Amino acid sequence: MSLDDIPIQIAPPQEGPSEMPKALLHEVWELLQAVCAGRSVRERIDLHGLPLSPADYQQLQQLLGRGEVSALIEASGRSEVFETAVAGVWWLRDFGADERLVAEYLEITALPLMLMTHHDDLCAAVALLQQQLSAE
Amino acid sequence: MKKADTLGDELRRQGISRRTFLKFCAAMATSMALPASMAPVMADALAATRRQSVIWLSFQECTGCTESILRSYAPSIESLIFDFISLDYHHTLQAAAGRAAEDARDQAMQENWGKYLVIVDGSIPLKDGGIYSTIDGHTNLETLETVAAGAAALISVGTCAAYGGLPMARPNPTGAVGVDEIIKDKPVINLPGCPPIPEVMTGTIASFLTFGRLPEMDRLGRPVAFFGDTIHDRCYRRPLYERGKFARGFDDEGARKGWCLYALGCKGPITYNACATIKWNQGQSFPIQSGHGCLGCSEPRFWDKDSFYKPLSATHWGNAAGLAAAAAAGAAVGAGVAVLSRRHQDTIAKGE
Ligand code: SF4
Repeated sequence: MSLDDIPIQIAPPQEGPSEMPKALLHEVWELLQAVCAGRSVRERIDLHGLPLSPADYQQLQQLLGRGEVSALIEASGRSEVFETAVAGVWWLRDFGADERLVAEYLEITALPLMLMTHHDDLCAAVALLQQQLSAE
Repeated sequence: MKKADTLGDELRRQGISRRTFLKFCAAMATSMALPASMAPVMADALAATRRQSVIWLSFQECTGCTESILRSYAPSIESLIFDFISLDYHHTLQAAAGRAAEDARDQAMQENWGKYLVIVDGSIPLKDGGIYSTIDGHTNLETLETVAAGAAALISVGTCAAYGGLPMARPNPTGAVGVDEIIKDKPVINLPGCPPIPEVMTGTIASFLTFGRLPEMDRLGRPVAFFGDTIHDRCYRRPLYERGKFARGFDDEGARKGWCLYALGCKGPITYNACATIKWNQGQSFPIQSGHGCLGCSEPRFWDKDSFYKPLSATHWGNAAGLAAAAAAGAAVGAGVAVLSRRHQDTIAKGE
């Protein structure tokens, strides 16, 4: 077998965004509908694992826009959160301590988990504060 | 520290909040193509577990696998795995030596009998009674069988532990074999690669910690989440392959323009691994991006399959049917990536 025996197909060059951002928007709409109807509290769509081109990515950002809330979190590296212009649709980016992007996803909910204090952490804080008070 | 503490309690005392668990799990879910909504569930499960006892056995190996998991990623989110496990025995890393080291292993085995995880790097020599590699007066075979008897599962890290690797290369002077040639009565998963990708190791361990079992495997015992596609399936030079643009020398015009490395011996079309997506050195690059074809280091007997620099069509690696299928699959690659990722997600979501 030689190289010439390999069937070669010419891939058409792709310019501009694909259909992916619009397909994602449909998915967001369905999930938002589920949260609105009380069928779900929280949904996530992984963006990091999807084959989004830079053009797709840019179009998705344009379609969703930016909303009223944004926040920075420091937990073993930086995390960025902002609510998109579509209320209840949050865009999250997690970085490691080495500043590498490790996860990026949309969370469809009233308040993303990363912004909430976990109940266990809250209860641990009760004990910690008590220790401080009794030490005074 | 009380033994009954959960991992969540233990790490909170070190200042690691549940947000960190969430981040770790979001990163793991992404690299394993799990549904993103699984990440919070994983984080809760992980926080509720006990710290997992791990016994790491090194046999006929070069320590490259340990270097890979340790060196490449600190201080990354993946390196948190070392906070989630109790590495009770690793003769390269532990402070104890000699009898004290062996005693530490015996103690960990006794305390966690039936529950500990065994990680093996290196192959096991069987020839001449296994005398070619011994530790503390025991052959590697004896050690493996003794330690595996109380294990919940075994992870073979690197091509040597998985398939015999370089020690097994012709003429295989020590009679080297991989772990699953010996251990038949326990779950064994293979994470081949020379060395394996750090996230593949951390992801597999994290998956065992959170789900209590090893992930879905392919016919060669590898986790499908990381070894489900060939390098060629996910290679960014694939469109050039489709257009027939091949570099013919490492310094020719094609090489300078970043054309496909097939004619220079790239084994990407028949090598299953995640280098093209996860990449190396904090996601920096992988061999093909650095201008060298894939060597096929995660495939069994890669060392003995003829020159690294001959095209697949001229070596013992390929056959016409396999190569034609690789080429034909190319047309659907764009859509296929999304579909494939969904396929993994559905399988895992159904708990299959
Ligand atoms: S042959 Fe190698 S360089 Fe060419 S597209 Fe396939 S994996 Fe990439």
